[in-house]
Amino acid sequence: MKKKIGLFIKTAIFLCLLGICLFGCSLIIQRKSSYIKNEMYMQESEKNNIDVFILGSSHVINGINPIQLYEDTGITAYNLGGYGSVLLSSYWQYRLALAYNTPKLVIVDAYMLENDIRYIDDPNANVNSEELHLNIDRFPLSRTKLAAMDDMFEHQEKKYPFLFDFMVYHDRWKELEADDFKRVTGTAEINHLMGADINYEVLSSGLAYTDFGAGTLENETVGTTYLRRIIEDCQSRGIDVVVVTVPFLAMYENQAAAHTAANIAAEYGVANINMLEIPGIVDYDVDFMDAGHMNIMGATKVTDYLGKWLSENKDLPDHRNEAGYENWQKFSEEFEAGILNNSEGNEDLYSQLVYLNLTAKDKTFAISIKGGSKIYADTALLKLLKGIGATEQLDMAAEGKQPYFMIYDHGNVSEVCGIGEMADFDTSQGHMQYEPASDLYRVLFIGDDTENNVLYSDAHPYVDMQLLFFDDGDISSHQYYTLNYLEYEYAQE
Amino acid sequence: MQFVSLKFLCFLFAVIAVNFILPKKIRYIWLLAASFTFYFMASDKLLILLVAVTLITYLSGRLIEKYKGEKKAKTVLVCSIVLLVGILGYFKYTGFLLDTVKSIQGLLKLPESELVFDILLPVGISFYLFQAIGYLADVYMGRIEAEKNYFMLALFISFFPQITSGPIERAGNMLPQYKAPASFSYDAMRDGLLLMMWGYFQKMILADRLSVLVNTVYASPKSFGGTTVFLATVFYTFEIYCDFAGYSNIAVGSARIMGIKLINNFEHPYLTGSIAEFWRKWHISLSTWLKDYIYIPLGGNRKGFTRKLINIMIVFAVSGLWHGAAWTFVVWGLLHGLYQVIGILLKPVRDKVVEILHVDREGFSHRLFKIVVTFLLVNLGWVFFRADTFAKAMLVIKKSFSPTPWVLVDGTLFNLGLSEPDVRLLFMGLILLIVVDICNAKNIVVRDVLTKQSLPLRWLVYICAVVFIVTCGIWGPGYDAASFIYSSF
Repeated sequence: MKKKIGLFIKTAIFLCLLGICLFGCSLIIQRKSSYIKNEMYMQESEKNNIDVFILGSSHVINGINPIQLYEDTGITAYNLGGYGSVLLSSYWQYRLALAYNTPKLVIVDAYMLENDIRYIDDPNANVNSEELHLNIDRFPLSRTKLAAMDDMFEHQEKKYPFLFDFMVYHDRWKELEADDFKRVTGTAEINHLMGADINYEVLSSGLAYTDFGAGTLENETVGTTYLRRIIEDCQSRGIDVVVVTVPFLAMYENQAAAHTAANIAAEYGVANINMLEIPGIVDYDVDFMDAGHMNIMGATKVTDYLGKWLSENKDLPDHRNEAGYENWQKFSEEFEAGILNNSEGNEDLYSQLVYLNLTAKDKTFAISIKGGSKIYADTALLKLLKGIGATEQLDMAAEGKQPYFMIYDHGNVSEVCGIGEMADFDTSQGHMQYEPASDLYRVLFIGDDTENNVLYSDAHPYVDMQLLFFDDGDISSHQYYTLNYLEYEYAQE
Repeated sequence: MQFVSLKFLCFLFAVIAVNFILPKKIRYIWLLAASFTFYFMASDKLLILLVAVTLITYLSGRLIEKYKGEKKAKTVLVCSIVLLVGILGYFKYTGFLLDTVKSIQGLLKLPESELVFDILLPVGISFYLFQAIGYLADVYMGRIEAEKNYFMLALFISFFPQITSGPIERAGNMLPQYKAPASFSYDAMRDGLLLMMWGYFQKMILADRLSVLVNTVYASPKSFGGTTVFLATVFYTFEIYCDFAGYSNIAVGSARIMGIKLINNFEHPYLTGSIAEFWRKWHISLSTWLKDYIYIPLGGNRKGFTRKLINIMIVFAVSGLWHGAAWTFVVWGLLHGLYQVIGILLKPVRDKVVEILHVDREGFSHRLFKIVVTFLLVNLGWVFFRADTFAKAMLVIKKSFSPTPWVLVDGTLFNLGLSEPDVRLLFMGLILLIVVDICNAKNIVVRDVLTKQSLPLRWLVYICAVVFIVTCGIWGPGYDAASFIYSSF
């Protein structure tokens, strides 16, 4: 008998060790995208620090920045939006998150309300499994997760990879990197924007928002059913709800969906913000990275609008400078610092100008555009320059296709348009002299050095735009952009 | 339910757990219920066929024993074998016969038959029918008594670890084990689990990777250089070994945990020095079945030299046809028969050459030479086994003689459907396989060596092995677990 007990104990210990090793291995092998996106949710939810859930698709991931919301209002929100998420998956995302933290308010984006496909694994649903993994992998196996899979999937075998993601990820052994191992030590890099993913690119194709005069959706859909479920579930738990539709280039059906969302919100007595129809929140020329997703410019404006609305209409606590919320403050500073760090040397001209829109006040830089440049036909680019501080001088330059020069010194803007006499500028980086001799040949002397025209380079004689950053009285970065058909070629010195 | 699935492992361990809880007297009923469940999950309604075969076999066995010594016994035996072979023929060879008839009609320019049969091949039919036939022959020859308990016999024919791909067992070995079940043994469990683990290594780490390379090349051999095509055949030689031996090890290991000893189906077959020796080490349960129930009844070597050679050819033709309903399988079987016939005919010449050259038959170089030659001959045979058509097989052989050795160093091997890390892992795995087989050939059983090590080292090896197989093995969504090659025979 003793021998049997001994064998039993030995076997149990062996199985425990094996289980621990397999678990550790599964953590290393796991694709980290979901961990990166949701780990901070798990950490903050331990302290019940999250007052607002933001649900929806990639539109909200890219369009609402919880760190900015915190910075502006002190409201703590987590962006639980998922790439490709429909209301069905948003509902389960909400339920999964709810197991760890009860919010005071849920903001749910009504995009894809018109979607009427019942199951995620329906080929017509067009849902990328990787995107769903991103949303839910970080949430451990639980009854809610089992229920979520049962509800979202029609076919049993399709559920397993989401319940036991090791099935999918074990094959990653051949692509492991240092960060994969850091998952075990807890030192891997994770998303510090509380679930948001901010982009810096600009869609410059000149798309314009059109109001199609749409009514509402004709029938109840899977989307409307799950929007109702979210609202009903929140109300049953005493959680407030705001239905939103964040801006994008909505088509007829999307606009009808937004109207239906407003009706459903009204039916349940919850607030609705249809940003598609609130003029002036975003500028479709510069605030989008593609037709559906906002860049940081759009996200900043939408978050700003939302923050003000929440401050005025909802009684949510301001956690700024409150003990226990140090991460939020830290990440907010980190976010600002990150933008500042990336604000020079961007190959993409639009991204570069986006960064300047955000950080100009901390910098001294000069922009020079050659006369006759086709840049002047680029509406998005001109708007971005205006965002930095360009005035009607730029309009005049654009109209006459004349050389344009701007010197920006920590908020002070000086401009020169056209060909003419020498202009002198006294900046925090020293004295500068600018003389536009011709469309192509412009002269800029820095300080006492009147030998070297920094705007002329044998290597880049015909560039459309030059951008010069100054630091310690010298040029820290000299960037050249040449318009070649529809793209800007980049060079740097 | 496939062996490479969590479902199977859960099923297996549930069956094992209940098996050891139940009183010994009724364990066979539990195992039969589990076996029928397993087969139902694999083949659905075709379970009825399995049950019918067990009934036919049971009744025939009882009748043969009843009429023992009388002519009727032979009549019953012949009728039952004809019936069982007829079942096999219907399910497995109807399409093949029809295709052959159509080909002949085409050759003779006669109007082609419009008959089309779409018959589903029941899982494991070749295996369990051979087991049933073997049982009847054993009863007839008086090697065993007819089993009086239907459930016991049904379990013998349908025992779940072996039903889909063998080993083809003998009633004389199995029925006593069902009647007097072994008690739970920790050592048997450990040994069974280690065997299973080795089987999963062979299947998931090696065979499934090799199959990617082989399938890529065999899909269009003319698109690849000669050495690549030759290597693909060598890869297939290892693939089929790892696939089938892997399956067998999982089956034998599963049974061993239950205290049931199945025949060992493989004994380092690619380290043999002749084709005859190869067949004593490859698919041993089938080879011995063919020897006992076809070769010897045909007269074996007792009816003269010529008849012996004819008997060998018959046995290998049957073996080929058993493996698959296509002429390429028959050619494969006949080629192996021919190897043996030629080997026998040339024996005096070979002996003379050895004598003239003063070759040391026991020397390492001679042994190695024989192993390499045997390996290459087996390799050639597998071309017909793997190729879909005779023409493709000939193309592969022809291309294999146009060497393009630079493919070994120009990265070609990394562009055959497997990533570079996968290919490197595969080669390391193959080295391990060969080392283990060499150990086995020297009567060193790695499992036994392992179990003699200190507990921490043993556990470290076990845990690393499981983690390695689970992580680097090919499984998960998109994996076709049905691809055990022998499960389609």
